[in-house]
Amino acid sequence: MIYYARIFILSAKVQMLEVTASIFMLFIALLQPFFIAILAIYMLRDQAGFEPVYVIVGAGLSGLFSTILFTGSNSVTRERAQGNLELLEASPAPLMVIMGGKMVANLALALTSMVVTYVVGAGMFQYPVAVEQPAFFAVSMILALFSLWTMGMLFAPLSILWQPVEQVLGGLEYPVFIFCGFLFPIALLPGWFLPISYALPPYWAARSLQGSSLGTLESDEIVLTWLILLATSGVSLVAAGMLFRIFLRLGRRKGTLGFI
Amino acid sequence: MNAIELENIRHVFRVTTGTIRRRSKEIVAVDGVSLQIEEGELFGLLGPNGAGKTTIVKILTTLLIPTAGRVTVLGFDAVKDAAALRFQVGFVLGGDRGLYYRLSGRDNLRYFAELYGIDTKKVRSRIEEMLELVGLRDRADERVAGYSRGMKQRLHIARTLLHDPKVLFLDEPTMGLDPVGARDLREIIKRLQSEQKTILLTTHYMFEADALCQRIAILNEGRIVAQGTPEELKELVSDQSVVELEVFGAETEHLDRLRGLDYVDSVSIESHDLRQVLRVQTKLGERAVPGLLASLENLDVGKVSVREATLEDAYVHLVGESE
Ligand SMILES: Nc1ncnc2c1ncn2[C@@H]1O[C@H](COP(=O)(O)OP(=O)(O)O)[C@@H](O)[C@H]1O
Ligand SMILES: [Mg+2]
Repeated sequence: MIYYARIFILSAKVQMLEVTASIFMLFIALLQPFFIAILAIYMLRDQAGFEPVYVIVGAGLSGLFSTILFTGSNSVTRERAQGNLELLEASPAPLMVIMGGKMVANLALALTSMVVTYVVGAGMFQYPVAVEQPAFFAVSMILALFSLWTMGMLFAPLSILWQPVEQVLGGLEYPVFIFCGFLFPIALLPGWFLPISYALPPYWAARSLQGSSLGTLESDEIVLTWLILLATSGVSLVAAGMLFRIFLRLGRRKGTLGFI
Repeated sequence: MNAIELENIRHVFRVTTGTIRRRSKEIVAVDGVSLQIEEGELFGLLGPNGAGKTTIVKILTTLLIPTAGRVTVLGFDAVKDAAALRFQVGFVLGGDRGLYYRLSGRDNLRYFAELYGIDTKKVRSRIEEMLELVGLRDRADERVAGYSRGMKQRLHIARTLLHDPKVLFLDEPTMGLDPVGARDLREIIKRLQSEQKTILLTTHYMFEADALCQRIAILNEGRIVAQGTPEELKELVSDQSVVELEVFGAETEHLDRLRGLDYVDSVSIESHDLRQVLRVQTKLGERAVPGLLASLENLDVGKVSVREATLEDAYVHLVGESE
């Protein structure tokens, strides 16, 4: 257990060092949410019922999600391209624990995008970004990060198992922004979209973060949202575990752990 | 006791090509290999590119599940007991890949020490010890990206020795190194062998296997074609001599004509700019020369020399006649 915790933490540190040395990653984490935030504010601010804090939280989440989507889906692929995947897998440490740690570092990077959008909203546009229910917001934030972490863990084996997935995932950015109600409420979407939204952990993350920012959710409502978030995230994590196992099994049969 | 046992190992890769009309092709990388390597032995697996050396190393390090056959290392089944086995073995795959280039050499070692669960209190001194062993102490805090190929290879050795594995797999560790780098690495390998580690070394250089290994198996197209001590392998060609003929403009038909002679065992050709060197293995020695010259009648022949066959010639003889 302690061994796993140490692997987890050091994997996060190693990834942090790797990521901060990569200009491209920093671009994804810092510049992209900056533009998303500005774009979203310009697009939506003349709409009736425009809530700056809703859009800013949503833009922040979009940035978070983009970063996790990108770093998550290329995390295993990158290790393989560097020739490290075989070294990691042949070590006694479980690959999923290693990747879990690395995903935390990706998340920390992604979190800066949340900060960027707040700075854009509060600084550039002078919007009030105060949060109505700070305690709920804080818990929601932690759970939101957890849900995004599980998404990253799901993308990692998925995109290395099926090469096309990595490209498809790249194109998933905007659909997810829409389905998860990051920028406008999903009530505006056709009814058949709803089940898709409900199945996605980030939807519940967005709902609880935006709700607690605006102060529109009752406490039992927000707790229910948290529970559903945890359940959907749990399902993602279990699926991720299964995919990791399948990937390693196939990789050891076909010789695809090394670079091909 | 045997540290490594391979029993009838076979590995088939299935590769698919084309996206629309998918064709699948089978590549038999290892075709029924059996081997026993004793504890403390430095064993050489020698073979040309594509012979199946890396595939065997990956099977032994649990990175590949063989299509058929049984593998045990230190009594652990490499498929069923992979998890337990991983603590016991170390490996270096050739080439300059692997490692985190953006981290320093020392940070790389720290990370891998952690993955192998090395006692926190001992990590620091163990890393120093390994850096000392491979001679990277002065450069340990620089990023790996700036390391030469030889330094990366030595860092790989340090990485894989951290957890003090009893069995080591070194897959073409000197590949791509300059002569000095390769010699330094061979010195390190000798030192490891003196520490009673069991080492499987793969290489495609005969002289390297000869200089380092106690026993050698020669692998060709996934099969072991000869096995023994360097002396025993030399025996295989003890009655052979090699006639070297310098020629100009030799064609395949000339080679075929030589190969057709009943006293010729094998012919290989090495091309330089304008001239070529034909190496003919024969039991006749000098007495073969007139006949050889006669069958090369219309060809310009330069220097001709006769010498005893070496281990290198035995290798060429066993793995085929291409250069
Ligand atoms: N992952 C793989 N997928 C398909 N074919 C492979 C793979 N790895 C090796 N091969 C093939 O298997 C054969 C043996 O390769 P290898 O073990 O790398 O040989 P060596 O290490 O002796 O050069 C070669 O024909 C090679 O192309
Ligand atoms: Mg090889």
